[in-house]
Amino acid sequence: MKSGKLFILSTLAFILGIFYVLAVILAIYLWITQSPFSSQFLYYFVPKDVSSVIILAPIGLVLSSSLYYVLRRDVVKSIACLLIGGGIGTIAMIIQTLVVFANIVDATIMGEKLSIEKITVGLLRADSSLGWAAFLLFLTSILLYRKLRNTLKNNL
Amino acid sequence: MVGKRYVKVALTGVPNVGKSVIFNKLTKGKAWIGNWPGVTVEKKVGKTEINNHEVEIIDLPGIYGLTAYSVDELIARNFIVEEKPDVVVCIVSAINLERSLYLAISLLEMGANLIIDLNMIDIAENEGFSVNHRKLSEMLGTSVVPTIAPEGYGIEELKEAIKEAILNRKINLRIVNYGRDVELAIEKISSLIKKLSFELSEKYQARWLAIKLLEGDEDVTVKVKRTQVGSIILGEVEKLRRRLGEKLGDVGAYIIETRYKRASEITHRVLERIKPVKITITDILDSVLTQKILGIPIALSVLMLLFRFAFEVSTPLVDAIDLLVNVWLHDLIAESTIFPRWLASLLADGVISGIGSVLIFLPVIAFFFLGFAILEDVGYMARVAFIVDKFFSKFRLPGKAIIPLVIGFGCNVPAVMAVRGIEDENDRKALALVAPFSSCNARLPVYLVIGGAVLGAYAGIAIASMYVLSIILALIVGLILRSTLFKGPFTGFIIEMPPYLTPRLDNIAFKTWERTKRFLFKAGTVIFLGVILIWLLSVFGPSGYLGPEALENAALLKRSWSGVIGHYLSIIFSPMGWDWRSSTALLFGFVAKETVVGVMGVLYGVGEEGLTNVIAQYFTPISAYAYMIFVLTYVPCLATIAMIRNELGLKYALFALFYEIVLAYLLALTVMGLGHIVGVV
Repeated sequence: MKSGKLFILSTLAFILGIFYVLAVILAIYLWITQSPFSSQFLYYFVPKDVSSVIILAPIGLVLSSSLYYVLRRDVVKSIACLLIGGGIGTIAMIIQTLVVFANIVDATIMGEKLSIEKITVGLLRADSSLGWAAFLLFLTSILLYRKLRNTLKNNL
Repeated sequence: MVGKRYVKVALTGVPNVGKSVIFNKLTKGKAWIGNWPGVTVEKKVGKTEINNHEVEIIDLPGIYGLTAYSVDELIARNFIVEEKPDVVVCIVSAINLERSLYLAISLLEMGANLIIDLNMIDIAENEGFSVNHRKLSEMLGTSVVPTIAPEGYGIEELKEAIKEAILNRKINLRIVNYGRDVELAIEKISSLIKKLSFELSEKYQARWLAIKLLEGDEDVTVKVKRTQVGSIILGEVEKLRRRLGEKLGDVGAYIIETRYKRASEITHRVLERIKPVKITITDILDSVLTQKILGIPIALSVLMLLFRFAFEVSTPLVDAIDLLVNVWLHDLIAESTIFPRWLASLLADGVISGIGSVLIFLPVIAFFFLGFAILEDVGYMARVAFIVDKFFSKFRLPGKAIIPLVIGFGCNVPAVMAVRGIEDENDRKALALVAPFSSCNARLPVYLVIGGAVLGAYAGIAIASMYVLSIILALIVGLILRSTLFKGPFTGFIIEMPPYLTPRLDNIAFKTWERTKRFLFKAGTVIFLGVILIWLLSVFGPSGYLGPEALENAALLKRSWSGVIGHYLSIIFSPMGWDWRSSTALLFGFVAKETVVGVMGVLYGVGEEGLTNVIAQYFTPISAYAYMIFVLTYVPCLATIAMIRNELGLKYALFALFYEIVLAYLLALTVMGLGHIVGVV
């Protein structure tokens, strides 16, 4: 397997991981200080429920670790990080989308007014927006995995 | 055996060999579930028809051997010895043959009419090897049927083999040769048993009994001791054991080791490498998922996602059921003029509310078990248990304890249900009793209202401390229970790491339905009756019938039995400074913690919205914090108690009820005491 491709992908994963970690740090900071969201970006991007950090932090950590393992020439762990980080990021995005959809259905059932803003915030928050990038990364890392699985165990 | 109409077939195997899938394939999913007598181990029985025989298939617990140390293993072996099934099907994993063969050998030694179901042959081939099933059959002296359970491959052949085994019983007692000295001893003891005890030789295979006696098996020793000739046989066994011990050291260990060697020898002779070993998806993913630094955060992330899926995605269904049953149907009955007023209230506030409080749990439970079944079938739950095992073992709890404890943060009902996945009965009982300490979603509104109203800027920290405390409590109480009430050997961690597999829709749907159904019918009844009891306590008082108005009128409710009990409770709670209203609210909290805030609103005469402003007058910061701790620790809700009753029986449900209340009281009292010592009131 050419390590060049893996290096590029891991670097992208590292950058994406940093965004996840950034969202976590901001969510914790804003929760502790109870500060109002100073910009539109923060308002939409940072999840309001602090419990989301338990989901987002490991995704960021795992994605960033991919580059670390490439630099240590550990191809298996690097690809594992891409698959796991990308996979969980994708699942988090799907579940967040389902939550938004559930909120719409719930509002309809309860006869409440549909809040477009609430929907937008739900779809743009970190686990959803970054999840699309994680999804692309996950798809690409599957290609790398397919090449890796033809490798004999002893050769690693 | 020819012409026999009813046949018993026992299904056994080590955990994670696909036993449930094969059971479902054989019975076509038609099974009833109960418990084995006297224990809390699940018993699954199904029926099928093979060659005009009505076959009852009994799913024995997943086990590794047939020792007397584990309840599951005792159940399996007692069933085989006492019920004498016509056929025993041992499911053997082609990818972990040696461990599975140890069990198969133990079954053969017992005299079981055995069939080997060699499952997962496809995964073995993917991993580069195959099992020569003909050679395996020759070596074991039994039929060996290769299967790929999820695809149904080999199931018809398995049925055919069962049919054949019913007609031609085959046993192979001498599958292991223990060497000249031990074999002579076995021969001597078995001859003695045959000669002296008709009772023992009729019930057991004399050779197996002899091996077990030499092995020092406590259960078998006790059984032999109870017979009239027990002392003679045991005296001879002791003599032989001593003599063998001088040559071999620990005779029990020698016998087990020889059995393992035989399993290993057979494995080496039947395993064939068919292609070079290539790296698999399991190797790749496990390189990170089972690692501590990344594995633990990933596990938390995945469990949190499961949590969100169960609790947030199911919201519309919960609200729809709530609207339909608790509002629409409730109001329809309550305002109906067909019934007398008392009956309308009984039906609406008792029966309908009872049904409603069961049904609103359903979507969350079903969604949770759907997600859980997927994670289980993929093979991930085994990894989660593996990575936290070392930490949990310090509290004498298995790694799998993480699952109910984390689930409990959402709802304690599925948390108690999740203990079923724990193999050891002592672990399972201890966990079912501590899982309710996990601070569930329903407790949060109480923390928010009380903390927000009284603790001001410290509310956030106080609420966060509830979650930390809940885990500390669960671990410490778990350790105490495992060291006292559920004392027993800590079996440590034995788990098969199954390869990662694509989950099968039918299997997931079946598991989800089975578990949801169990909640609906078992816990539902208790919840339903509990809600009606609370209704009766609220509309009746010492002066007689007060009417349904009491449910919405503080003055009337004060005169009801609930109010009277609340008054007595307030005497008990006086060291904490809680008045009769907050004490009565705790009584309603038995039904569901969600109701505590609502009842407080009624009793303080302000409704839920105005509660925050009023409550500060009735609580000091320390009494508020003590109240929060009490809410965290005392009985989570009726549904959880119903689930504990379902899993462990009435005795333990009552025990949970009692010890949680006592513990909650003591903790609240301690907090008050500490508050006074440090000068916080």
